[in-house]
Amino acid sequence: MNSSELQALLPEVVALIEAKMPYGAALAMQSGGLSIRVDNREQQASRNPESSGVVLTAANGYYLEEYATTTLDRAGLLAEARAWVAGLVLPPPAGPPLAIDPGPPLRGSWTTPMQIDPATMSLQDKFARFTARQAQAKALGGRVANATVAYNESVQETVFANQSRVLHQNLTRLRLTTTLLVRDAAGNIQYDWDTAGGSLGCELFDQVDSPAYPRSLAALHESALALLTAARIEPGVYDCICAPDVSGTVAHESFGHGVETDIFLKERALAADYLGQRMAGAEVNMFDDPTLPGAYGSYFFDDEGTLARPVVIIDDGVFVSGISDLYSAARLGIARTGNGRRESFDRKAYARMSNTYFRAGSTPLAAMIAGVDHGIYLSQLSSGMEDPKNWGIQLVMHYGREIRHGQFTGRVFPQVGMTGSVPEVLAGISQVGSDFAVDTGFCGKGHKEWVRISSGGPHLRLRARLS
Amino acid sequence: METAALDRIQQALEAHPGVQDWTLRETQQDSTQLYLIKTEPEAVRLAHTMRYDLDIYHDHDGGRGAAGISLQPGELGLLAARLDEAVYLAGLTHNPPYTLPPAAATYPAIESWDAAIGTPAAAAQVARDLAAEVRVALADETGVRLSSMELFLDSATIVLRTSTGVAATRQGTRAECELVVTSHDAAGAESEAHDLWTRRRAADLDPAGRAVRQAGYARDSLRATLPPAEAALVVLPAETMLPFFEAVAFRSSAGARYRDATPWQVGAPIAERSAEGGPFDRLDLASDATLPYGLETRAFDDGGLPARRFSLISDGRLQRYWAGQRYADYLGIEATGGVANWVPAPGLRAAAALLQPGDRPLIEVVTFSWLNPDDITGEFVGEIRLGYRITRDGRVPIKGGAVSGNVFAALLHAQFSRETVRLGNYEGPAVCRFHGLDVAG
Repeated sequence: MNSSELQALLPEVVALIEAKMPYGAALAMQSGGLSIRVDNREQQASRNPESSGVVLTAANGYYLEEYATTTLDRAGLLAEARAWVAGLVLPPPAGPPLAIDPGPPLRGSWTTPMQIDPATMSLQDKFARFTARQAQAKALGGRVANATVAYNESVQETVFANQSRVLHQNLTRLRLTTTLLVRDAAGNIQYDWDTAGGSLGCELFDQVDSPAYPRSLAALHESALALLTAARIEPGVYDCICAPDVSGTVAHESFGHGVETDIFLKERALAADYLGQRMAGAEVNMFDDPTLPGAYGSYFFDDEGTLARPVVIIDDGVFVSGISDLYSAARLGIARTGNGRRESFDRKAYARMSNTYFRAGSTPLAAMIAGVDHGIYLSQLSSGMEDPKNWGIQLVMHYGREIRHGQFTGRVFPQVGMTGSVPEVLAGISQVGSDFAVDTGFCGKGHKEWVRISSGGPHLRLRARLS
Repeated sequence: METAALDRIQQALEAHPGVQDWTLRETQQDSTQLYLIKTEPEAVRLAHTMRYDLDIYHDHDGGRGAAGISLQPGELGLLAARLDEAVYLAGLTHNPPYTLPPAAATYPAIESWDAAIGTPAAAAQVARDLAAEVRVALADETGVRLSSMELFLDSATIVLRTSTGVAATRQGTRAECELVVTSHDAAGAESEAHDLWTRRRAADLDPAGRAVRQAGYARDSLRATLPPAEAALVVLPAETMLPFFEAVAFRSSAGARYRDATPWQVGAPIAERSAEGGPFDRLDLASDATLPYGLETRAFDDGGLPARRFSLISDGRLQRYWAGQRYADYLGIEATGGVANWVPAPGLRAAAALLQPGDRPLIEVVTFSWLNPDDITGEFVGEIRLGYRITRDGRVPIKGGAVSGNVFAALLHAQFSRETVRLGNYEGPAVCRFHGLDVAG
């Protein structure tokens, strides 16, 4: 079924649900795309595994019931919907009732803005771009054991319907990762990588190949080689300059996960006690914004039919708002923020981030670095983990670079971990850079429920415990 | 069993002039899901999905190209167009020739199905029963409440056909539980413990028992303090150290060998051995895809290679690369199939002995915030979410700080308990004590 047919059918399915239940909704998600991988020894190309289906939602007055299926033909879907609805039973009254506001009437259709639609670029041309880039990386020589270019093109089309609205969006997201493996004479291997992407078209390729692109292949090579002889950092508290991907992950793990309001409902969030309170200096402002143009986590409406909008989380240092999904917003009696997202149609929606970032400040990066007597420049974020209850934070960076007396010393430390408490880290931000960038990535709710996101902002100067 | 769709796809594959070899997988899955916020339902879900995954192999210019596509029910009308595109995609890629696994005369009889959750209706009742058990168990725990619980009870049937004559079916169930338990003290301070685990059978989940254990951890977390930075020995329960094996899987793969992404050589130690400390236990590690009710137990892998057990590391030396048929062909080695359940050999000492401090304190880490070793280098650093500092004076809960080191060196400088434990994809020492790791407070 195409999107037009789904936009006509899903309201019928919603009507079936609401003939029995107080609230019904239907979401069709069709995801596909392309993956290409080229390295020194092999070439791979595949269409991404299809993940297409429909999830039907019924709010029964107390909780949600859902049915997800890959059946996408009209007759089959209606039959399955009828069978499922027939089995639904209004539960006996127990606890506070759940009332879902379907929202004001709305119909709309949106598509990711692009200069070069990937559908208009031939597979052959795409393949040629990546093999050329791989050849450039391989030709760097100097102990390059392997150079890999991995491309992923994701196209996701969703149609949402409830009693008052029918919404459609077509989202295109691209991701291009170049990885260099280097090997020393003893056989030890190190590596570095660069990832570019977002919600955009194939104009991404020209951006990456441009001389103005911030991370050249030569720079990747240099950092990978430096790691071959790098020793671990001495644990301690350091003056840190965080690159945007690290800054963004500080935002993501501290006031991103910590303010997802389903966590408030579970009484798992220490942040809930700090709403309206100052958490950082006045120069610190944090947002979650699914409307950020070109960002990897952007969308037009969430998976529960709420239009996307920017959410101010920290305003001039004061924590002002969380991000919500349909169920937690209804239970908490707060406005929905458009952050109800699913990994796929067969997974539940949770309050999830989209593009989470600190707003740029006023300090140029050069001035930040010049002001550091002894510190570490942190970049190449590997992973992060939240701890909303204790407000702890863990980040792991692929490496850190030493700064002494305002200059890089050339010394590199592998696998640097940042740990600590969120209030301490935020209160320790002393400078906010005047630059801005967001990365591309994936976010899990703990270790599952993966969604596309970006994190970023400016460079930040802060003090943190590293090991 | 309905095979019309499979037959139709297979016929199209066999008829296409651009397809020299192919694999076809039909995956049908039911997932029954229950979500609790505190003790009340937030959501009840049922998902029924079906998908066809095709890998096509197109030989050209003396080499082999490959491409993968997928189809869902209702999309068979797109089959011809998708195949044409897949052949075109495969024609863009060029790799040295390789073969697909031949059909096996028989596949091993394995145990991977739990009839108790084999249908959605049965699984829904099991989910309700397990949730009720957790509620009852925690009701007796002073100062502790259930914050949330999620149960996923899945059953799947996979049919595999290949151009080399494989025609086989495997079935499996999975039971996954995530729960968060919160404790509070008289002053109103709160702390939580989080658990996520998966088994083949619902009966092996034991969420009530694990909830009670997490309740104890949540209480201990309330009084946990930052450990000092010191030269301590680190003790990890088996479940905590499972991520170590993901890095082992990467480094021991024939694919990594072929791509020059691993320094490991067959017959050579997996890391340098230190002359200091010890004595350390032998590291003998096997992969076993036939382990009864193991999470990774299956009669055949995605390419059709029969399940088997094989030795991967013996006395700290790599015995073989594990390989699918493709990389086995490239390296001229035996095709083992993918790594499955981990089976390290037990050690010589009792677990209680490994948890006895000597001159140096022990840091027993129950859970990290996220232990995520770098697959390529083996380096890791993980924040201690909850652990215990054990000295001759006693056992004190700790949190914060970090443990860092290298996975491969750690495994060679370790002592393993002689007691073993069975987890989802692991059967081996219950407790492991590591030397040479750094503890930062």
